Amino acid sequence: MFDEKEFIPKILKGNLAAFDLLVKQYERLVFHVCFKLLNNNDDVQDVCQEVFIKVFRNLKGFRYQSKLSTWIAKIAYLTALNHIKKNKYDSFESYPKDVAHDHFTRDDPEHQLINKDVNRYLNELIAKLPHQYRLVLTLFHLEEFSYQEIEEVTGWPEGTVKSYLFRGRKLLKEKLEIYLKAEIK
Amino acid sequence: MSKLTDQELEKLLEDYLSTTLSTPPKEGLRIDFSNQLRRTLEKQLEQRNRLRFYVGWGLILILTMGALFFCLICIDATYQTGMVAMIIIHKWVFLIGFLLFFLIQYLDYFSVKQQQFRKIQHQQK
Repeated sequence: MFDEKEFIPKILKGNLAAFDLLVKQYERLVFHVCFKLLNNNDDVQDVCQEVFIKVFRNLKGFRYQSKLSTWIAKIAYLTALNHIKKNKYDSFESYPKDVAHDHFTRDDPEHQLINKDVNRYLNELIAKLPHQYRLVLTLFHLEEFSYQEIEEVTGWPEGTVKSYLFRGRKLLKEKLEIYLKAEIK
Repeated sequence: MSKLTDQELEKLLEDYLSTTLSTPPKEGLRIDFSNQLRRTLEKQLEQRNRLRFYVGWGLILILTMGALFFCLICIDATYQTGMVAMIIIHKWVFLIGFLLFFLIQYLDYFSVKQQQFRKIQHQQK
């Protein structure tokens, strides 16, 4: 079990073995946040490394006011966001408002053939969601963050977080419903 | 396949959604991720320590030179020698000369000696 109050002072003294434990504890969280934002496994490795280097350098600024996981997730979120802006391969700011139409219009037979497995189909749908929805869904369901914690990580108001979560789930549900009904028929 | 009622369909949807959303992705970080991270951090720490070492020595040198000049000025006030005047005129040559010496040492380490040390360490292993 990783005890923050025991290990952080050790890390601050330059103990890299203690930092290894922190990495082991939070690498899953950092990976999920970065992966959901970047959607590219090659870049994720480098960004995750950058995140942990930032964590190591800025750990002395951690004041135990929030959970360490929230603080690390925030660094991961901001680092991934910077990476997106720097590389401009993904338009974070200009995502379409009409998400439902822009992201879920590929219902051609060939595409449906690929989606035989429901979970795989769902994962494909999730990958097509805008970053905001993907990130909120991941933090809420996979990492079990509360609304307040997601607000702390992303800086979005709680209402926005709830709205992204609701709209993300609704979009997935609608699409899955069509898929399942087609399967049943 | 038998037809599902709306309620059953709703439950099925919820189940699928919850399962998929709470299942971690198959992709993950490289196995040697933490080792690689550790090596990067060690390298950065080493560089930072080395820079601190050289900057520290540079500062000590400047302070020592300053103290020496001060002492010479005090001595000169008593003995009226021309030595201090000469040193004071050429003070920048002394200061910059020593700083350049440290800078050359530092650059020499990174460009030449570091690789030599690595080769020796590798051979010893």
